[in-house]
Amino acid sequence: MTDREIVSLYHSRDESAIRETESKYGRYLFGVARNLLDSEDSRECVNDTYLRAWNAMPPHMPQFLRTFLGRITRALAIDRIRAMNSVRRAASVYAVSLEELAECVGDGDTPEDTLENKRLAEALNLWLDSLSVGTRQIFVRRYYYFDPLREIAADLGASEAKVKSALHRARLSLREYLEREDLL
Amino acid sequence: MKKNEQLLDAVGGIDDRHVNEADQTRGKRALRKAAIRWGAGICAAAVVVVGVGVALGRTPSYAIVEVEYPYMAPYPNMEGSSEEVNASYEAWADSRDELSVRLDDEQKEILVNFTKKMLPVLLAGNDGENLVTSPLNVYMALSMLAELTGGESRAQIEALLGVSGEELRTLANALWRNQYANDGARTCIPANSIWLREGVKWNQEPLDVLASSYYASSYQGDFGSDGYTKAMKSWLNEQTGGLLSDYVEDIQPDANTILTLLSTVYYKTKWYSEFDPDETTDGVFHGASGDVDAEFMHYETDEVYYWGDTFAAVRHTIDEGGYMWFVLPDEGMDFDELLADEGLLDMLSGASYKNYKRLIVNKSIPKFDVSSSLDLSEIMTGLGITDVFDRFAADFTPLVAGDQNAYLSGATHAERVAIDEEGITAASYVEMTMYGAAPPPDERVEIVFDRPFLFVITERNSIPLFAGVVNNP
Repeated sequence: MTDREIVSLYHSRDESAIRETESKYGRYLFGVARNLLDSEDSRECVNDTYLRAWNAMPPHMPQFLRTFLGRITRALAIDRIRAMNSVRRAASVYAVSLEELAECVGDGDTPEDTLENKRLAEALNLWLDSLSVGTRQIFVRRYYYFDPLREIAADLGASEAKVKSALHRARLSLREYLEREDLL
Repeated sequence: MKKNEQLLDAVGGIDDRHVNEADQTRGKRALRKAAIRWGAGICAAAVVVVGVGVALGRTPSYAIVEVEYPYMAPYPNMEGSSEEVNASYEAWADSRDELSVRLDDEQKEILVNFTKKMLPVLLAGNDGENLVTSPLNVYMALSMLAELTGGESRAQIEALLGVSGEELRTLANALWRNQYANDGARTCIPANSIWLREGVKWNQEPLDVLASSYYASSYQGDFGSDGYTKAMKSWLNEQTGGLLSDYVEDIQPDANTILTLLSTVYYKTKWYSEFDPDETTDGVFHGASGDVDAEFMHYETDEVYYWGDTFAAVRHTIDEGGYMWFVLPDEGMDFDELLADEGLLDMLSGASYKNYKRLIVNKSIPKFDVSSSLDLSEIMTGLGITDVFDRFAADFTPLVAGDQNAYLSGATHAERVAIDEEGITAASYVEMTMYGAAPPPDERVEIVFDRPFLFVITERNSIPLFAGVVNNP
């Protein structure tokens, strides 16, 4: 079933939309959640994704259903991990990623007149555009998908050390960019 | 909120194009391997040859109609700016939407009924051999035959097809358009052609109908000549991607043939989630005529498990919609009983079928490459299509003058379907725990297709594109 067909099932309030979504994207979404959570939490997180999707469509008509759903799963997984106790959280990839990103913005509290998430994302888009394709893919895989370095390296046919150093350079560049643009 | 937390949240809001670009590299190891393998996923071909013989005939030659298939925009490319990505996606989706025709409930029912009637017959009497069929291909070929016949000859065919006249034409055209795909990612080409004997007097009208509604090209030449035979063979090989070349090689049209109708389907696509070749294991397939070695592909995931009175079934999603169903009859159940199970067809047609459950399913499926050729004329006769084969009763008057004594001299149906793996995850070979009438256990089930099983490929139409029995993978 095509994305358009599945989306139209949501729009016509046909419950088979969920079944078709599971069948086509369940595995992908589970993978997105699983990078941050254990199996049980991941499964729940994916189920919550379907509920969110059901409530979001209509009105939404996502162009890329896969990405649309993955984004929901990612946000839900982050919510879940933030609600966990500090011990469990500290042991997660999430904590590692936060530590790495502190290199760009520090880990201080955001200022009162905090930037809208959307505006910050737009700035990130521009910055991402300035990177080489390879570095951009590595950055997104690491901080969007929370993929393990070893997997990123294997998929891109590079060594882990190379991926690490590409990420390091990307973070430095992001820090410069954010400072220059006076963001965060 | 901490700044780094906000940054991480903002990463969640980056453009689709950045996410898609990175997404494409995920699991790329496996994809790269898949690209090397020509058949990665499924490839299949079917051909129906219907020959019309004649007792006498002469007259001048006719022109050739060569149809062009509809344009299909290439599968969207995720490279480039968001405008480019959006534009390529839109173009692709638009060309697909433009081509497809929504079938109404009545049309769907006609096709489901045809499938229910035909599948058991097309796959009947398998005595340990592999059997493959394409119900869709048979439907198309019979529809074309109906267009060329009149009177009782036509009425008998239309009775089997469940629809007649203009409605039949509309339905066949919709089937063609819904099935056709040639976008660089997925190929499904239902190709039809009519080969006429030079010198026989034809009515142009039915040929025009076949060209416009069935995308059928027509040719004429001398059936005894090497050149004409060669042209037919190369058309067949071209349309079926060379998959049926062994079968095509044997084609030798009789000099008495006045018309041959060729109907083929060539299908090549990828799994949505490929099987991991590293997980593929050697195993034994307990075939109908003894044990044979086979390579088993494994896949474990959270998916839907189906069961019925006579079978257990799982499916594997095909890229861009559609499923390949794997149906394991209960131990001791023969295929005729399985194919007579109403529940099976209800499950395949998606009709409110209740016996399914979402579970962690660990499936093991042998790689296979199966082919078969069957004499469709026997099957047609058995289903009441008799007049066209009778040289005194056959009515081909829409096509040729009644005094030409045209009749159907034979109808053959040949297919080949091959699948292989690709994907990720880890799973190991485990003996199956449960099939059949009882619902599966709560959490997890293993299903191993290590004995004869049925497969069915369903796509956007309510009629299977391919179906077959694997007795020897």
